Amino acid sequence: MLFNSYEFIFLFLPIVLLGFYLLGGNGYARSALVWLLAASLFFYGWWNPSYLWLLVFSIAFNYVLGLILGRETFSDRVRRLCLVVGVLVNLSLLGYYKYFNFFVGSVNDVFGTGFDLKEILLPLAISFFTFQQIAYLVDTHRGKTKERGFLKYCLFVSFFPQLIAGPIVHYNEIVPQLDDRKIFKFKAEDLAVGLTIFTLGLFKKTVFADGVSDFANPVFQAAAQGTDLTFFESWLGAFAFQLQIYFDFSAYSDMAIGSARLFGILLPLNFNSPYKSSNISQFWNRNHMTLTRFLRDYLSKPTFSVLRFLPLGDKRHSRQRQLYLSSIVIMVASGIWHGSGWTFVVWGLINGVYLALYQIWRDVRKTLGKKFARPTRAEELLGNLIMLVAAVISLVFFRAQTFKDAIAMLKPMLGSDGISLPGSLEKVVGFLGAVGIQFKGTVTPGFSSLTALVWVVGLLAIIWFAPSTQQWLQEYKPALDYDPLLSSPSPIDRLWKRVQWKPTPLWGAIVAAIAIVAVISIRPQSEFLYFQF
Amino acid sequence: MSKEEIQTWLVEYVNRETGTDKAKIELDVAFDRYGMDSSAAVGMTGDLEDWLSLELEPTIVYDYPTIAELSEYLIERVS
Repeated sequence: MLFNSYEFIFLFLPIVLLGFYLLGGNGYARSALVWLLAASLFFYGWWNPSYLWLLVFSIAFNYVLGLILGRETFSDRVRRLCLVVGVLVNLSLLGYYKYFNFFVGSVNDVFGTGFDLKEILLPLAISFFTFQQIAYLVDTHRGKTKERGFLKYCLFVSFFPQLIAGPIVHYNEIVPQLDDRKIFKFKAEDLAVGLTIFTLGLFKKTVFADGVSDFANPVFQAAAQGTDLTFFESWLGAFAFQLQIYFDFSAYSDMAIGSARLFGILLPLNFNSPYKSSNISQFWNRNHMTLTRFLRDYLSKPTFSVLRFLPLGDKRHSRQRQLYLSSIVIMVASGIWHGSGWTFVVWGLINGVYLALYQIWRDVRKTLGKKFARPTRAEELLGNLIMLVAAVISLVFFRAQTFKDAIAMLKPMLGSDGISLPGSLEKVVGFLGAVGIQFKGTVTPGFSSLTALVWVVGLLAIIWFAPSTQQWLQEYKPALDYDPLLSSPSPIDRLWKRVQWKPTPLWGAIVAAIAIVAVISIRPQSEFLYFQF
Repeated sequence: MSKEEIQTWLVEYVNRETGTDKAKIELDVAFDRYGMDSSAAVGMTGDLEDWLSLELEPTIVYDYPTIAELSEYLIERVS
């Protein structure tokens, strides 16, 4: 079931909410949790009931392993063996469903073999619940979790707001909240805050993400069909996709946090205006934050353990060089996690190289002395622009189905056929023809470059200058770990601080108007991009 | 060497690296929330090794992500 569907908004969510508070508010806390679990499984099964068994098996298997890992009566050897088996089984399931055909297809391509590909439908959310439970097993092995029963474990994995596309939550973030009796008592503030966050997310999805996708999809399709795109439209198409995925994921994250908040449950922040960052490292700390956290906590350390045996100079330099390599390895892993195709691997590799280059740059500055240790405001702005363009280029690989398609987009972007602007601009800036600029117009069918330009510039202005949902609601704890004090406020942020959301009739009316526009704009079958991962 | 000395050293380090006002640096807030990225964290581990004459894992900050936790761990190691 999609968050941006009528059945979710007008049937599923209100019914589940009503049942939860009717049961929980009358002293049946356990029944309320059972109700929430049943609703979550129904939510998952709505897509394809035949894969419900996989989710249930995964939950039961990991719960049993967790019981063994958490008991000190078992020897260290047994517990370590259980951890290894658990991680391997989880990764094998993910590997079979997500990567089998990718692997076999690659073998066929490289060795010219003819192994048959299977018809495997990727189970929804498998990448998310697999990582979440691997983290649980590792944390339990490290003694960081405390077993609180099967029902709460089931909800930790399957709670519908975060089941399909994150945030990838930790056991200790969710289960203590389920233990708290306060969540069963209806609170008007939770309803107001949750509905506001959900509505803003819905608006971002149905108006911004779906709207700008009309300019990304035709351009990428034209490139895939062999159309020779012009410079201007290829850049516009690439920027349009960047903005589509930005608002799509921002929307999903808001709707997950908002719908959980309706039940009094806080989810961790997953998206924090990443394009306000001034470098790629900050960007990854603010984009898909819970995946970045997972990769940092569960992959960085083993990667470092392996890389430390590589002799890469004296101790201090060796460490930094190991860090550069580890960044590349981790981002390639992130690429593979996102999708089973070589284009995703290349997307991860490019981002890993970006990170390593930034780290080298940072270390070089540090060696120049204190004066250069921190960037100036102007350098931060320049860094922001460089990062934005660098991200657009890497996202071409993320969006394109094949390398051929990606190259067909990148060639005109890099000016292979000269720099060409829309024909309508010739009257205004025709003098640029003297320096070789052409005015060929666009070749993508039905693509209006000026309309696309207005969308791209408008949405870029929003991602740079508008407050994030959490900034706007910062006085009402809009996420589990959102701390406004550390958001390094810019002058614009300080301005927005004066226009804070409050649970007043005026703000209620504004949010209701936003909701009406968002609901009217719903497009049937418009899935979130992250559902495919 | 006391835990407080280590904490003061860490607060000054975060202030130098990120420009965050010392008064705003809290002991129980994770380093990354002040903008300390992985490169800065690994660099800090090296500087801590030099200062304390200890051998540390480069990823130690991932296990002890706040000044309070890291200083607790370091004082145990030092003593």
